[in-house]
Amino acid sequence: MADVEPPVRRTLAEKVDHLFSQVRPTKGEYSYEHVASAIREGGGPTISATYLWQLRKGLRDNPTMKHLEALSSFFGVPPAYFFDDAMAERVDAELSLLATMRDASVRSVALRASGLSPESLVTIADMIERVRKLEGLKDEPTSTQPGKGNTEG
Amino acid sequence: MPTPFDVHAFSQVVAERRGREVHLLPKTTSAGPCGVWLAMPDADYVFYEQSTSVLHRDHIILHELGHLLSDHDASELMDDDVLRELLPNLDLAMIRRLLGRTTYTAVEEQEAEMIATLVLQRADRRGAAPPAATSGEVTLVLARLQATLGGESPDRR
Repeated sequence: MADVEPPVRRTLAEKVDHLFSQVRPTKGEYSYEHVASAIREGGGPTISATYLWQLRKGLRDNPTMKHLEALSSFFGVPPAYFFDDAMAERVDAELSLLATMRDASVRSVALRASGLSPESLVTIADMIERVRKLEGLKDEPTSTQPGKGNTEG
Repeated sequence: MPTPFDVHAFSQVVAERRGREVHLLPKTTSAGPCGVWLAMPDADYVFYEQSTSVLHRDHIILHELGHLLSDHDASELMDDDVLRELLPNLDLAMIRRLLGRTTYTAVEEQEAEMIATLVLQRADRRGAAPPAATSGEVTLVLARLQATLGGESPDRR
């Protein structure tokens, strides 16, 4: 796994896409309309479903700060996710672990550690994957696309 | 359960009584936390650091099992503190939305208490003091379990 490589640069579209695919309800993804409404109802800027789609596709690439703040707030990530590649990498590692925990139906986690490095998150995710393999395919994965398939870190 | 303290036998007792398998698995890497307990829907898994002394290894495993056994203190399985430690940059509300809230049932709590009592009774029968091979902190965890349970219950075997 990645040691001390510089963070990968990604486009805004890629980051938006990643949020939609990682932070999602039990089945499928949050629709653009759902996200737009949630942002409006949360007192955020007026933002259309179409605009969100355009951002994700890379057809628009210059959103305002308020747009990005609203978007990151909805998906539960810090706004710095969009500006700071190192932060984006940390957030991605955490989102990946979260997805793994949800897909594996992990009920509880306890651990002894003083401070967790991003590497640790990968280790924990690997443990969950080992457990899933050990348990075989007793628990059928949900019909949505599997949360793993992340090859990063 | 033999003396000196045998952590695998200990975990077997836990597994049998709970009716849930407990798997002790060595970590494949030294990276990350030295001990991790994963509660899955049907079984428990404890990962432990193996490249360390037997005493420390037992300590790690026992700590996780102790957590497993005495976790009736937690009102939610996914403790906020653990989530913040694992996922510090993610919004807690979003995490809970994705994971869904789960809680222990009263039955599971009672089970955990019963197991710990039985185990401690067995450990007790082998001698007044914990075996010499037990580290001080292992003794502490056992004592904590005993204190949590508050006294002995009649031997039902």
